[in-house]
Amino acid sequence: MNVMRPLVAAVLVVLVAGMPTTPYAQGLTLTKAPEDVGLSGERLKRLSSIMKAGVDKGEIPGAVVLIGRNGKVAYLEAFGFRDRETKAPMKADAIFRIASMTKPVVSLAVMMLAEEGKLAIGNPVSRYLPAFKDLKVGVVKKNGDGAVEVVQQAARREMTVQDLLRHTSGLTYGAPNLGPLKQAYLDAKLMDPGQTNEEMVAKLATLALVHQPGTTWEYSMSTDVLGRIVEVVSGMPLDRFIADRITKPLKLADTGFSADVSKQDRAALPQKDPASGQTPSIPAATADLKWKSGGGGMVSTAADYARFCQFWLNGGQLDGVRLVSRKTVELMTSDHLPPGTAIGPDMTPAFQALLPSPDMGQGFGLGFAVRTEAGRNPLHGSVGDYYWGGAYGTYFWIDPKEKLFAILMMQAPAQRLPYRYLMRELVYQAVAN
Amino acid sequence: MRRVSIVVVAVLMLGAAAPAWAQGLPRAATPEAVGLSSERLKRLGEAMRTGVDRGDVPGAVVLIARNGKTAYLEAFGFRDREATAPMKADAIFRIASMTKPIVSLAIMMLAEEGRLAIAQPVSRYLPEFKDVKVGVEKKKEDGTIDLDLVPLQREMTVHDLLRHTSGLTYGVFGNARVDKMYLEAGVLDRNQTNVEFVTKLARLPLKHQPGTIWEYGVSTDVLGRIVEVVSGLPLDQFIAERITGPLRMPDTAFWVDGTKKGRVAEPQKDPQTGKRPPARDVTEKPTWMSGGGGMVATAADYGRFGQLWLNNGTLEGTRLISRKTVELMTSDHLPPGLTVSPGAALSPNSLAPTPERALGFGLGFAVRQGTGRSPMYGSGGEFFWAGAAGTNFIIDPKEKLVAVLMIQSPAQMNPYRNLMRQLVYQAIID
Repeated sequence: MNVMRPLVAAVLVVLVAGMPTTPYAQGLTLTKAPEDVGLSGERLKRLSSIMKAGVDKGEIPGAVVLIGRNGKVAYLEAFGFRDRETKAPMKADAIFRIASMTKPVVSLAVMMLAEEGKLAIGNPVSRYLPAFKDLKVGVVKKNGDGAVEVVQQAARREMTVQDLLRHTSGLTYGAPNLGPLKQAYLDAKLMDPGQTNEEMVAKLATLALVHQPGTTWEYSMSTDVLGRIVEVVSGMPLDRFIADRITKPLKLADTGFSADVSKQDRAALPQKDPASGQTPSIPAATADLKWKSGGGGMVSTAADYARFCQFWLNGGQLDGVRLVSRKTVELMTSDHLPPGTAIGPDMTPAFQALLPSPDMGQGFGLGFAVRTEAGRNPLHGSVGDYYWGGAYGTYFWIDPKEKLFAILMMQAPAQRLPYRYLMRELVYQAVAN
Repeated sequence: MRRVSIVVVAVLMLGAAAPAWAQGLPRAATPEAVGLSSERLKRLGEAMRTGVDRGDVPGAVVLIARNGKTAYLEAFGFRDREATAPMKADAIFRIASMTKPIVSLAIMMLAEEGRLAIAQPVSRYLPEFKDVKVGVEKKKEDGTIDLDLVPLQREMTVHDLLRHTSGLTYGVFGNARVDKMYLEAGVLDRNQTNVEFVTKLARLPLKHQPGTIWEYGVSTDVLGRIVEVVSGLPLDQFIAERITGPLRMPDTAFWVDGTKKGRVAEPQKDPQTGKRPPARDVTEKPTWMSGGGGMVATAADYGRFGQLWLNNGTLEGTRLISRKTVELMTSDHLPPGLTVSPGAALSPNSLAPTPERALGFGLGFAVRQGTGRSPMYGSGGEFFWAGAAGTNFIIDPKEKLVAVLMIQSPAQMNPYRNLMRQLVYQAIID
């Protein structure tokens, strides 16, 4: 009851404030009490107090946490500040840059085109993007004098669309100090917000792959390439395809590649890092960038992403709107990494407990990581749960076994892993049935 | 008795005139009645018509059955594009390697009668295979290649033939010395009998030690000869009397009556060469009853065949094999660590049974080990195979689904197989 009071109050406040559409007014229904869907209100207080403590300690500026179960929202709370610098409080309908949580949306777009017979994920990428036909694999060799040299090898097979979906394409992300191949990505300015997707893939096609396609899981610009494939196959710009075919039909009113300027005062902002005094560089939610990045360009709210999560739990439909069949959801949420798949050498420090490796009891499906084992992993969860996060701090997972999903929205890049761990513990400890 | 003979006469009189699916599985009232969306099925029709309009394929028949009922049976394009004859749902297709599950079933029926055991060496039924050798290539100092004839580590078994681990090959998929010897010996010669075929084959070396490598080969043709030796019947007669007759698959055979000539689907001219791919006249009785690829069928007939498996070996009261035999045949029989012959594994759309795609091989078809890893839509536990002339089928126990795609277009086999899968599975809405 104590948890519900502020929730109901928040809903009323938003309604009274007279916003034309409140995100969760067209969102999923709220439970009367968390107990109605097998969650303990008492135990959920632990989650609230940990989040509040994180704000008070200055670790994070603020956050929105949403838990859905059995098709209903059981918990939706806003913590701390939407903008700590101006003391503006966080609200439940705040808009966040969701970064890599864009990837499941774009992967869905690809699978919708597959369902129409317009592409096949077993096909080589070059069928849709001919410039990807003869990519070479770069092998870094150290000469006798210590100088580093890149030797180009022929690819043993072409990358396929499936490889892009599961990050086994041989592509990577640019990064400093991790060797000449990743440096080449930086030099080519592959993340240039002023580029088009067409320009992005043209640049990418001139660079060497870091692995033989199909051999190694390496988190990468693969989903950006998928975004371009959506454009080529559908004949529509990526943002328009997603708006017309996904976010509008699913009624995700605040999900897109940017938020309308009228929503500026709903945009959640990162805070200054107390150590460096620097504010993490995150594009403004209202910035309408030229580059519609399929790997990370979108904004959303907790309530919108909740609808998106429920859509997966429902086997590809929501409120009578079907975007894909149950079989497509099954295919996407199954592990697609063959036994013996290597993990890119820089992946372990970046992902830690979220790494899709057999040692962690996890694999990777078509757009998200998938848990394959009840054990092995230090985080709470279920076999078959699938998840991903965004580099700016957002995180979600979907657990079909528990009919549960959870969303953490915050703009605090440095705190992303610790708060994902906390979320897993504090959500699952509240399961009371 | 009298009543039975009246029915028989009536059926005979209707004979050629009756549409094939009249004898197929019962029709579902609507696709929705069996959990399929008619709206979404339109996408399948659209994709097939586009393929015809673009000239990719001459025509096609697609059948989807679910919960024992035909939910979708449609014909697209041309039965014979050059003659502008439209495709019809009862068209007869060369099913090539989709013959293999039928011949594998024949073997298992004989096993159920105790007349053979699949664990036995092939030489027990075909003594000429007793002392075959394995051809191992050795590079000499001058760079030329010698073929060493190495003794068997163990004999090939009937089991090996069923799962393609016999060491036999086709000759046409590789460039090894043994492949060349197959071609020179004319192993796939249409003018041979099954006796001549195995005699020829037993004189050639194996490509691999039995049981060590999965290689798609003439194994099922050898099974066809074993059916003949063990049953004492020609292969075509055994299949007609014991399988296609009892299952009421009137258009499934090694050849069809001349009166059905106007129902036979033909490949189209290749726009590049201006020639039609080779396709035999299936209204002529062939000399070679090829157990690996000699049969023809309709979508409706093969739909009935698919339903036999979903029903655990029985169809409309006719039981051919037990549930345990179905279980054995549709389980993966490839031991861990078994290698797939090189070449097959690398092609992205390959059906080769590799752990990379969670595919294994049972006794007569590929068996899917899980939903993930494969780029193909489907379910763990499904089994399937395809024919080189362009046909393919899926039997999915989890979804209680049979899907059959009939096309005579060898070059389009892979793309249309994938297309059919995505468009069939996306239509499931329950």
